[in-house]
Amino acid sequence: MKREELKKVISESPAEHTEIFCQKDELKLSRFAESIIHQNISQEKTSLTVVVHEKKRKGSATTTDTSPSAVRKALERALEAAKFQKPDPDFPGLPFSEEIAPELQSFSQETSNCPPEKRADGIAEVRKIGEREGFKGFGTFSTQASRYISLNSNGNFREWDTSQAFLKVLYMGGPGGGEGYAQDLQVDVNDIDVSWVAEKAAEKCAATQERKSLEPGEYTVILEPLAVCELLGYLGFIGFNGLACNEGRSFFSGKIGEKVMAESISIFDDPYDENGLPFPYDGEGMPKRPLPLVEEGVFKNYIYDHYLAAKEGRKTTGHALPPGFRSFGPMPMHLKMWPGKESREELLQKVEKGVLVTRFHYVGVIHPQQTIVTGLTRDGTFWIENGEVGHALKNLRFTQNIIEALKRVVGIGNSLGKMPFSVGAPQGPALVIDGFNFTGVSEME
Amino acid sequence: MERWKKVIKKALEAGADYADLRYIENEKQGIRAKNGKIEDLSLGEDRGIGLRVWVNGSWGFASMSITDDNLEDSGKLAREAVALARAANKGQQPRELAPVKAAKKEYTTEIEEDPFEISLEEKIELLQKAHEAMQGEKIFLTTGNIDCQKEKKLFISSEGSEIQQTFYRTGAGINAMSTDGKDRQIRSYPSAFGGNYAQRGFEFVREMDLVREAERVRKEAEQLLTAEQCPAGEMTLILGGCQLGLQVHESCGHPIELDRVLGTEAAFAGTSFLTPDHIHELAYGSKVVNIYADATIPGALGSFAYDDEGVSASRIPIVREGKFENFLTSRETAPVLEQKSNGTMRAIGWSNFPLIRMTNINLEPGESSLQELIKGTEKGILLDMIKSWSIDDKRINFQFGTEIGWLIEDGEIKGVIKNPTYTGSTLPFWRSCDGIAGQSEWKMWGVPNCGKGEPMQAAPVGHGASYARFRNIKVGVSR
Repeated sequence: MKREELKKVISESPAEHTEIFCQKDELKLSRFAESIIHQNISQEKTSLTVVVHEKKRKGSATTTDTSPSAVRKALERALEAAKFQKPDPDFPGLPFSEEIAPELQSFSQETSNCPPEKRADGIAEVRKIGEREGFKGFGTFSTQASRYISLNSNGNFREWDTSQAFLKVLYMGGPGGGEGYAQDLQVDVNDIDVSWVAEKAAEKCAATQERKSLEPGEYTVILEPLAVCELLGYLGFIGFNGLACNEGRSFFSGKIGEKVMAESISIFDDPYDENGLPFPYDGEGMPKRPLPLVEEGVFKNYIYDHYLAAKEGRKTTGHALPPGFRSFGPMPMHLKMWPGKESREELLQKVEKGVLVTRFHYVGVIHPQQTIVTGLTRDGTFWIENGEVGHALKNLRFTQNIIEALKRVVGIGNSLGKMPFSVGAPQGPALVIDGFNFTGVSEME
Repeated sequence: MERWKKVIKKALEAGADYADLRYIENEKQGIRAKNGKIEDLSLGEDRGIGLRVWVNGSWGFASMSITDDNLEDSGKLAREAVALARAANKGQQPRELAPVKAAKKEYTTEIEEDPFEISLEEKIELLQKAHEAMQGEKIFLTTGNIDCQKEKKLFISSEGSEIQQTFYRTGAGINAMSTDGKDRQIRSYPSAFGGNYAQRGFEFVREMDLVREAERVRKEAEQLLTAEQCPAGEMTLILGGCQLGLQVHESCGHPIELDRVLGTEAAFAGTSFLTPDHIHELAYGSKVVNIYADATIPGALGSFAYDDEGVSASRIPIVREGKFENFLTSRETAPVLEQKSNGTMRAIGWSNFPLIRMTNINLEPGESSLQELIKGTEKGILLDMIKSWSIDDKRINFQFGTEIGWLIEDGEIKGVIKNPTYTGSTLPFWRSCDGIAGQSEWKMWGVPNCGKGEPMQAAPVGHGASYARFRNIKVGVSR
């Protein structure tokens, strides 16, 4: 559907306030196992949501059909739904901003046009490097282009594009059954360095051939960037989440200005960072902008969408999710922990005896307010002794309070990694953390 | 139908050895209440097609939404899907799919009350009454939800199948969060994270009696604030059906997916500790443990007549008297075991590629009862209601947390405990099972959001369970 047609639907809507959010995703994805593509898909999906507010009663309807008649039908259904609602006295009206987000490199035509042969060639390269080492490759190579249109009856209109290309490689094999993982996430598919990812994964796989068991307990750890990104993502969901803060469900509730982490830790939400996945507007079509959340260990800011901000007499920080997801609350999608100055070697020198973690698996939240989570290490866990990486370890279960861990950071790496997370793409450096709590070992018997 | 047959024909003309197509129309209604206020009332519709082709041993798949404007574009999918299959073909050996008999059938969920015929007003009133019944001095947040879905799915294949299935899925749940200013606790009913779901009509929601149960939910949420912490150590563990369903899901349901065993989920959700040579050999559990995958149970969330390859639904023994018996398979993977597919391939909506999915993976009822299990416990805990879950990439080491627990001493319940957790390894855990409650305490639990695949597909699956007892389990692991 064209923008002018959507504007017409808005202008003809009988509701006092009408909002439309439309997202079209074109996903091309190749999954591979044993270095062979087993799933090669093209998925074109459009989702359009109409939200109406009539006498402060809200109703919404979604459709995947964006033809004018279908959008009008969705509007009628939204109006029907609103009739059954009770008025929401806190409804502040719909947002409007004249501010234009800066030009961001959020979209690549090359990514959007990427043919299946390019992904197949990349996977053939993964196979070649794996065969050289005697490993089999498993993973995904995908490209996605998305178009967003957000408009409302207050005159706010935004239209923007994003893209992302993602390659992940897990090698398995060798005489001891090793496992090694690496990945790359970029806006432009041409920036994906297939050989670099594959070589890195192969190096880890070669190093994990013989894995020893480690007695659970508290250890100094080096968490590599992917492991840090995972914890950051969860902290965003259960901690920085604006609604959780507002409702007193978050660790950060009522803690503005308090020292909550080590002084060396600063965390921003930075939608403009072109090393991440830049994103100009939020789900209400309001401009996003960088926001410090933790500076030198001190909690600085709550995040808001228009509704929550109005409730607290503030302005939105540009963190609204699209209409269908707003009940989760405003969410930081571009978390970035500031890197330190230390090289990998310097981080290792800080560890007399400890554990190096490549990444985590299946993290579950045990206590959201206390930020206690559990999960496992995978695809490259190593013993560190006297500053050197030693033998590989069997995967370990951790049960850890994230905030407490971030209070005990004694080293920060000088480069950032990033990963797609269910909400956004956090970026983080490697961290050295004292007293990380491992509570189990993954062993068959 | 004729329009979609033409798409299949175009796929064959473009070079496909085999093609199948799903045309799906979906209608959804979701109501979410928070503190008695309807926070989200959403009505959704979508329709589209997904075309899968098999070319010389490789799959290609293309999907698109169908709108009033683009009906004629569906032919381009055939060329795109075949091109994708050819691009995937590097290094692939030609392979045969397991045979399936072409079917021409119709199936519709049996319901008593069409959930879409029940007025929004009535549903909202139900949630508001439940909220009122959950009110208490220490309750600071209540939520409730009612969800209905009607999915009409047409499956046609180049081998002659024409299968029309209509599924109604209905679910509801409530929960209350309590605080005393320091601690926060939660209780949910009938299950956590959105409640219980079934392939039934609105009668399923009525049977839950949300308003009556809301009072107990409030009481237990407040009671948990002053409860003792879960003890730490090794002891006897009794699991209630809701939590046991999740235990089956994570430590039995996922490891038996043959695509996962063969590595297709390796870089995402992981693999499995199981291998094909474990069939009829591995002691998965103790003699009292019997697990079946059963897609034929009327009303269960994971039931259907035919899977998304046109294979008819079946009941498959997974663990019989403790011994591992079989995997969940597809037409592509079953030949590895020299079998025919047992019909577990499903895709979520029209836009996704089908994967091997759990159907209803059930721990069969035993001969005991909850009272007998408690009576036979000198020192232990009874836990129920999912709160947190985590399991490793081989499905060996797990750790779960539940909303509530009860301390058991000398065969009697002694009091409520909070923040319970337990951890273990899959095989020792199931081998330590020494008692399972019987049919009268056995119930189906519907999980609407089992995650698997890339892009992630949230599938509706079911788990039948009663109560079961496990010995020498490590509990109270948290910090």
